[in-house]
Amino acid sequence: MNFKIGKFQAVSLILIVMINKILLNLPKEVIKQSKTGAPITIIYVGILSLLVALFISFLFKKFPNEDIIDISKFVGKKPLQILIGTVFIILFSTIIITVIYEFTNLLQIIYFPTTPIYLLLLAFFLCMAVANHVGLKSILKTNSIVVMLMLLSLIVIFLGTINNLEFARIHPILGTNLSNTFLKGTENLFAYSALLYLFFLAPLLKNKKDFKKVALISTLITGLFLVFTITTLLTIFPFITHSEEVLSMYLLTRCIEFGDFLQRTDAAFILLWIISAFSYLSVSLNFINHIFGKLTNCTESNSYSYSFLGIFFGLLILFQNQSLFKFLETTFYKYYIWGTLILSLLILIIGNFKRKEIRSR
Amino acid sequence: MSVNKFINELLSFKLDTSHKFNLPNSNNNSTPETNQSPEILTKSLTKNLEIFSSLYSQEINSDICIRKFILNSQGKQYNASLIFIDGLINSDLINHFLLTPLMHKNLTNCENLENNLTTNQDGLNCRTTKKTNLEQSILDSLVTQNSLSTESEISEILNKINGGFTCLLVDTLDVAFCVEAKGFQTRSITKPENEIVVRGPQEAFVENIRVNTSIIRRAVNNENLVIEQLQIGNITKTAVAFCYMKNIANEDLVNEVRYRLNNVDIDSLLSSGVLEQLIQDNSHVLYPQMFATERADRTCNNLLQGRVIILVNGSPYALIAPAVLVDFLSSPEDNNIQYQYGNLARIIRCLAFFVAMFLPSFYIAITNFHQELLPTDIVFAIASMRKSIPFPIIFELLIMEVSFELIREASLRVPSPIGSTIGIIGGLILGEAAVSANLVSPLLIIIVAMTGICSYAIPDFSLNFTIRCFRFVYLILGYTAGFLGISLGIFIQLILLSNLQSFGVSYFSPYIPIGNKNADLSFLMKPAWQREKRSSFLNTKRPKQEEKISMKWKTNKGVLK
Repeated sequence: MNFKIGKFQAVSLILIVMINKILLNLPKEVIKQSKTGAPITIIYVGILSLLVALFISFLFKKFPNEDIIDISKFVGKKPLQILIGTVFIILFSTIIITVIYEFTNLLQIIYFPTTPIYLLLLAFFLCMAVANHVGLKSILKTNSIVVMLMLLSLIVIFLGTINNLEFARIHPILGTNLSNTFLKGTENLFAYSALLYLFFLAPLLKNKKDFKKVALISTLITGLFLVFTITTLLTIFPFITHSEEVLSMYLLTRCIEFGDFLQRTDAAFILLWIISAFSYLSVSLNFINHIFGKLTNCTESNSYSYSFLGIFFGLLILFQNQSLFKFLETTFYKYYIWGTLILSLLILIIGNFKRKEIRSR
Repeated sequence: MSVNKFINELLSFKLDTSHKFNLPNSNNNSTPETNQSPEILTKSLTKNLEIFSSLYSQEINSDICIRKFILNSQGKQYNASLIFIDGLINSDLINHFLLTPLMHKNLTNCENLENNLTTNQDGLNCRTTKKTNLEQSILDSLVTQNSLSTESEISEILNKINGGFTCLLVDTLDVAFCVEAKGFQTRSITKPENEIVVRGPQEAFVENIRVNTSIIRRAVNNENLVIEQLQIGNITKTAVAFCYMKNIANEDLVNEVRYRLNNVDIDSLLSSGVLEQLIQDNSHVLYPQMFATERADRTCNNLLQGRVIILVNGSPYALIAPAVLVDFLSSPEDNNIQYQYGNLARIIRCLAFFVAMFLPSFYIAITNFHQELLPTDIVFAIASMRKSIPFPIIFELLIMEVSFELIREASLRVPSPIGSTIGIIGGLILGEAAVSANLVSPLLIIIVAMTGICSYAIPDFSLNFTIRCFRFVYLILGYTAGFLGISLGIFIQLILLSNLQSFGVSYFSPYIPIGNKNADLSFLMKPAWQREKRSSFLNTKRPKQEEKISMKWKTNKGVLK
């Protein structure tokens, strides 16, 4: 990547992941596990994530111009690089597939019940293809605009639903038991999965000293919005059932009322969410290209990005199985993120030791 | 065949009035490109005149004048000729300050013999003769014109003559004296016609580049203003000037402008619009990448911000580079009024930008896919209005939009006295009659009218075109896939615009990437006393444009002068 980005664009990159996770039922998953203790859990996990973010920024001090793929090559030569690269490619591919599935599913249920799914899929793939053709620099610029709009829209959602809040529903505030809230709640670290993008951020930053600031600011904003969303969902709906097909945030927008004229503003939010999903998907696809390019030493990313798009399109057409995507989105994604995070941290730690050893020699 | 017809055809004569001409496809009549004429002048006036007569096709060219006369210099007489183009020169200047001193025998051009008498070593009076230098004599004492140069290359002489110079050719000399005696009719400086403001100077550019540069120099009034001039066009050799403040403008930006202008290889350049297309970064993007203004105050304001101004001879518009999106939504009026009013106007224009681009597409998306956005009463009202309309909504909207564009286009072309008639016809027929005839719904008229009004609120003509084009794209996207289609369009447009640069500056500056939002270059203006810095995206040599405390009188730190 022969360009650099500032603090604002870097924070936006992390936030777009968080925003899309919020839209795609992440709050519902947290609530499902921690029940009424979800806000406390998310604050507690947020503090843990903050520590992890600080730790990552500390470990990257010795690698200001390298990402996790370069560091894995430094630590374990090509085999480890291929391993970690493949792990991340699988992660980003899962993200792309599940996000597209969720959104097309939502759109088909609400607005296009008779439209063939492949037409809806094409809209997403067209955007990703154009964005990747233009390049990551433009995607990140667009992303910073989209993130601002999305944060604004989330604030509007909170303000719009403020009349429907019933704080009695949040009790017991610590959840059903301490173990669920704090011990098992640690599993909810996947809510801060945006942290994984930090592993690729260092070489992109204009000012390397900003890494720590970016990590902290993005984690704090992520935590803040997660807490707000979860609290709003908990205080509005008595209990969000697992069987609900549509997104919980969509249900929230249907509660918004601004006077008599704007009674159902959900469609307007969908417009913004789709743009946000386009942005998120484009970023993820570009990261796949970036990793694949490093693994194979290919320089022409456009040539294989279309191949990836073809594969994803084929997979989405072939496997229109809701339970499979639910499994991918919840169980697989949750534990895979844990695995990826631990593996990446291990590589970073070993890399730090190795560099220290080389320098001492 | 009847007998009458037969007799008529046999006896009467009919003139064949029909004349048919077909341009042959083959290039048999094309003249060879290579010019066989010599490159420099010879010492023979006859030969030189033959060359020019041939090059200018003087026998058939009515405005090419060759005036032959006898030149008196230092007591000698020479054959000489003036070559000029009638209509481009000032006859009085040529008569009084060129022909008179060259033809008359007087003290200046006759050798004073008495002065040359000297006494030699033997005490004898003798006459010394100075070596005659005709060229120097003409330059020093005969031509009483301030702008005079000598040229020996024929191409250069041709350029000068075409530009309104008068060339003096003298026998025995292989140089031509090019005298600036221009005198052609030009439009005088008038009020701006397309960028009208209430307050602020009422001075617009004209077609003459020298008048335009003089307006800028008068307004800037500083020695750091540099006006570089070059020629573009192999045939027209149009004068193009680019101006910048050498102590403010970024050196790389100036070099880039110079590089692009020097590397335009075309035959003719007749307007700044063509030049804009030739030097802009991306010619496939619909958004304008340089802004054109006819206002001198706006030009000077941008010049002092560190931008580069490009002027083209024959065009009353200055091109300003680089330009970012917010520039196209600002008006020269904004600087002349209180910043609060200026900001309000800018917000309204921004709103107008979005309404003009998206309103019809949102209407079609909402009525086709997202009816729940509207209150039930309004949905019923729309449905009842459309009850008797036989067309689908997209067709109805396209009819109205296309009709509106036709009215707009027609009103631009018709002479101004009947321009208002077009508006009346458009308003009556397309408004009242179309609704009465149940061709369109009244709500649609409101939508289209609103869109039209908003598009007129955009101050920049080029951006207006962009909006008009994209409106149709979004209309189709909204009809095809509702908000999904519009989202797709917005995202792709954002991505493409994020990639767009104008002379190395991001089109979304100063917001994306985030820069200094001070000064009046960002969308919302600060008070005049707070515009301390020039925009960081211009990366100027002088980032500060005013002191931290510019209103020193308020802090009692003022100096009594």
